[in-house]
Amino acid sequence: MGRYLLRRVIQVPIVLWILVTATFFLMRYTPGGPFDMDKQVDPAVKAQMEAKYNLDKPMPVQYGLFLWDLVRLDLGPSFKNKTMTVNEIIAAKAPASAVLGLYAVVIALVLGLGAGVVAGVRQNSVFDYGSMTVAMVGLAVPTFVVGPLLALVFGIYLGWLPVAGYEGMDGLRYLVLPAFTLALPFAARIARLARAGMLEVIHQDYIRTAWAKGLSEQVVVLRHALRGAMLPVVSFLGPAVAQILTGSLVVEQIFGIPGIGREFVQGATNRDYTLVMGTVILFGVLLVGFNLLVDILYGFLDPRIRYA
Amino acid sequence: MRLAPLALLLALAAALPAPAGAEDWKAELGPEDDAWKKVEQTFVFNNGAEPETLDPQIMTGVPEHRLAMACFEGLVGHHPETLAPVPGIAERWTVSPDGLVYTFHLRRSQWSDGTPLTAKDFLASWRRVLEPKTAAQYAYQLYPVKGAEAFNKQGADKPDGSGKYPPADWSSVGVRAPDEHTLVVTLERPCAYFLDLCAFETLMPVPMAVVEQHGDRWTRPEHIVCNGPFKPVEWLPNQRVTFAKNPRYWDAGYVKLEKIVALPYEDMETAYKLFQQGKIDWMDDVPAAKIDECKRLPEFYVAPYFGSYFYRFNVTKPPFDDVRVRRALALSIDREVITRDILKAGQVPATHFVPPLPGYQSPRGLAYDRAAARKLLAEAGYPDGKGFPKVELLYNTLEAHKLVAENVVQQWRENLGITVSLRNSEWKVYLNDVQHLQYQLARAAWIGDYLDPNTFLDMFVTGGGNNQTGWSNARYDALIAQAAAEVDAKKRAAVLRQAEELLVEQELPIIPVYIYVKKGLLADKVAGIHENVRALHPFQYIWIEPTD
Repeated sequence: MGRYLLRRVIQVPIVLWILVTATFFLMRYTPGGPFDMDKQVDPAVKAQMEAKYNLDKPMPVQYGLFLWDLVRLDLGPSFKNKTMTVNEIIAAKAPASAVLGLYAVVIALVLGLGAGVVAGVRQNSVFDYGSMTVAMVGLAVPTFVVGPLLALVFGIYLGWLPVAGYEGMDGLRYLVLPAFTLALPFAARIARLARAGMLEVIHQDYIRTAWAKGLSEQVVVLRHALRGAMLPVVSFLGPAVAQILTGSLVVEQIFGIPGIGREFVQGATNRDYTLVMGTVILFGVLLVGFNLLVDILYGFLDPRIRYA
Repeated sequence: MRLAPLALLLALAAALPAPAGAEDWKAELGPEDDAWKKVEQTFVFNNGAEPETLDPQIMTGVPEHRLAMACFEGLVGHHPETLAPVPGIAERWTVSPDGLVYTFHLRRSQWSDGTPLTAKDFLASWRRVLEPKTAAQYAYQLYPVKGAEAFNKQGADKPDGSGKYPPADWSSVGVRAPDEHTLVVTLERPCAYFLDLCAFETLMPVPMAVVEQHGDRWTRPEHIVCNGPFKPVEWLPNQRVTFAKNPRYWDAGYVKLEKIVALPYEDMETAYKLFQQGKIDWMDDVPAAKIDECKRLPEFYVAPYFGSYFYRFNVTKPPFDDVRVRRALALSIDREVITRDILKAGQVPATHFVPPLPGYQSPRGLAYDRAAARKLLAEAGYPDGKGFPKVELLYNTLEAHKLVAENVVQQWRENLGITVSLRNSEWKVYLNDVQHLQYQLARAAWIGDYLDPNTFLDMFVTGGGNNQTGWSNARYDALIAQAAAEVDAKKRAAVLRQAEELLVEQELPIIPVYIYVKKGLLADKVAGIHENVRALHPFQYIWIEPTD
C-alpha cells in the first residue's frame, strides 16, 4: 500500500506537467489572441500590449518563463482583468464554487444514494420505477432548464428564496436553489450507479449467507451490501467532485454566483492564456487528487483489492 | 460661465445648453420639489459584466466606461440629454479660430483625498496614456493632439513603410500648463470632435502619485483616489461594486444619489428576475427570448443607439470584386422583415451606415428593389443567379446573428436565385478570419467612439485597420482627408455625406442592415435618466423619486 501510494504521488507532477504543457501550446496556437478585438488595435499599440505580457518573446522562452513562474506558484497577471493576478482571481472566486459545490455534493449523495439503494433492494417495485424515471429526467433535462424553472417557482411565484446573488457561507438562502440545480444531474447518476451496484451485490453468496444467518434487512443492506454497492459510485465521485467543486458556468450565470466556473469558460473565450492555465491547473490538481483518494478508498471498501 | 461661441459652433453642430445663467440647465434637469429627500437615494443597476478595471485610461468597454463616469471627470462632461460638451473640471475654454489651439481654464477642484487637482495632473495623466509601457489600447483618443501619436509609437515602424517614428520626446507633444489652472492643447490638425474626446475616459485625469505607489492595483477601493461625483467603497469580484457619494467632488451639492450598486450579471434572464422582484432599478438590456413580454411592461424603454449592423464583402476575390454583384445583393434585402419579424425590439432598418446624428444627414442608400437587383446580377453575368459561384457568409456564433443571416440568405435565394451557405465561428476565430480576409461575406457591427460621423466613415479608408474588406478608393480617402481638414461644420458634414454616398450607394464594400437600439427596463422611481443616442447616463443627474 505504501509503495503503491508513493508511486501514485510521484506520478502526480508528471501528469500535471503533461496537462499544463498541452494546454499551454493548445491555447497559444488557437486562432485569435488576447488582444484581437472587434475594434482593431493599431499594430504599434498591439505590440506594446504584447510586450507588457511577454507575448512578443519566442514561444520556447514564453514556455520557460511560464514554467519558472509556475514552480514559484505564480500564475501571472490576467490579460483581461487588469487589476488582478490569476492567483488573486482563483483565491477570490474558487471559494464560492467550493462552498456551493460542497452543498451540492452532500445533496447529490443523500438523494442519489438514498434513491439508488432503495431502488436496488426493492427491484421492480413502484419505488424502483418511480425513482429511476426521475433519475432519467434529472440526467436528460439540462441545468439551464432546471435552474430557471426552480428560480421561477421558488423565487418569483412562491417568493420563498432569492432568485440570484451570493452572500458567502452565511447566505445559505442564496445557495439552496443553485446547489439543488447543480446537484440534480449528479444525484441522478449516483442513483443509477448505486442501484446497479446494489443489484450486482445483492445476489452474491456472502449476502445470501448474511440473510441465512437471520440478520435483519437493515443490517444486511447497510453493513454488508452497501459497501459493495458503493464501488461504482465511489469511482464516479472522484472526477465528479472535482467537477462540482470547480463550478459550473451555467449555474453560476443563472444564479449570479461569483465562482470559478465562469472564469474557466470566459478565459478560453477571451484567450486569457494565464487565466486558462490557472483554472486548468486547479481542475487538474483536484481531479488527480480525488482520483488518488478514490483509489485509496477502494482498498477499504473492497477487501479483495490488493495494492502491489 | 462664458462659452466661446465661435469655437463651439466649429466644434459641434449639436444642440447646446443655453449659455444663459451659469448652470441654469443643471437646475432645470433636477427635481421639481424636495420630495426626493424623503427617500433613500440608493440606485442599483445591472452593469452587464464584471468590470475589467476602474482605471479610466486602460479600460475599453461599456460597463467600465459607466463606472468611470461615476468616479472620474475629465475637462468636460456630457450633457445628459444632448450629449453636448458641458463644463467639467474645465469651467470654460476657448478655441483658436483655426481650430488648432484649445485653452482650458480649470476650476479649483480637488481629488477625493483632498489634494488639489491642477493642470499638471492632466499633463501627467495624458503622458501616462501615451507612454508605451502603459500599453493603453485607447491611446489613439489622444492622437489628435500634436505629436501624441509619434510619442505613443516612439521607435516603432511606420505603417506605410517610410521608416520609424522618432524616439520619445515629450516636449514635442502639444500640451502645456502655463499655470496651475490653465491647460493649453495644440492639435495636429483641426478636430471637430476634440471636446467630445475630452469627455472620454481615456482623457480623464488619474492621481499619478497613487498610480505610482500601487501600480496596477491603484483602482482597488482601499487605494483609489478619484475626482468624480462618486467613489468606489467596495468591490466584490463578480458580486457587486458599490460607490458612495464623493463629498469632495466640486459639484457635490448637486449630486443626489448617496449610493450606487453596480451588479455584474451577464445573463439577462437573471437580471430580469431580479428586476421583477424589485431588487434592481435599471437594466440596460432585456432577455432576447422575453422581448415580447418585456415590451408590454410600463418600465420598458427603447431608443436608437450609436451602432450599425452590417455585412462586409471581401472585395478582393470574385464574385464580390464586381461592384454590380455587391449592389445586387444590397438591393435585394428587405430589411423591414428582419427588424420587424426577427429582432422585434424596434431596431431601425437601414440602407445607410451612420446612425442618425444631430447636424448630419445620411444619404438614402439603396432601398429594397428586387427588379433592379436582378438586372444588375444579370449584367454581371449571372442571369437568375445561373452560374453564380458557391459563396459563404461568416458570422460569430450567436443565435441572433444566425437568425438574421438565415433570413438574408433566404431573401437572396428567392430574389436573386443564388445560394449562399452559412458558416459560424467562435468570436476570436471569427475576428481572426475577418481581419485576414479569410471570408467572402461576413457579419459585422460598429459602435461609434465619439459623436461624429467620422467615427463610422474613417474606418473604410485604404489600409485602415478596421476596413477589413480589402476595399480601396482614392476618392473616398480624399474625402475623408478633406473632412478632417475642414473647420466649417456644415461644409464638413457635406463632405462626409459624399463619402457615405460612395460607401452605401455606389461602391458597397458593405451592406448596411440596421441601426442598433438600446432597450431595457427602468423602474418608475428612477428620475434623471434621459434618452440619448449613446446611452450615456451620468450618475450625478440621477435621483430616486418617492413611490406611492
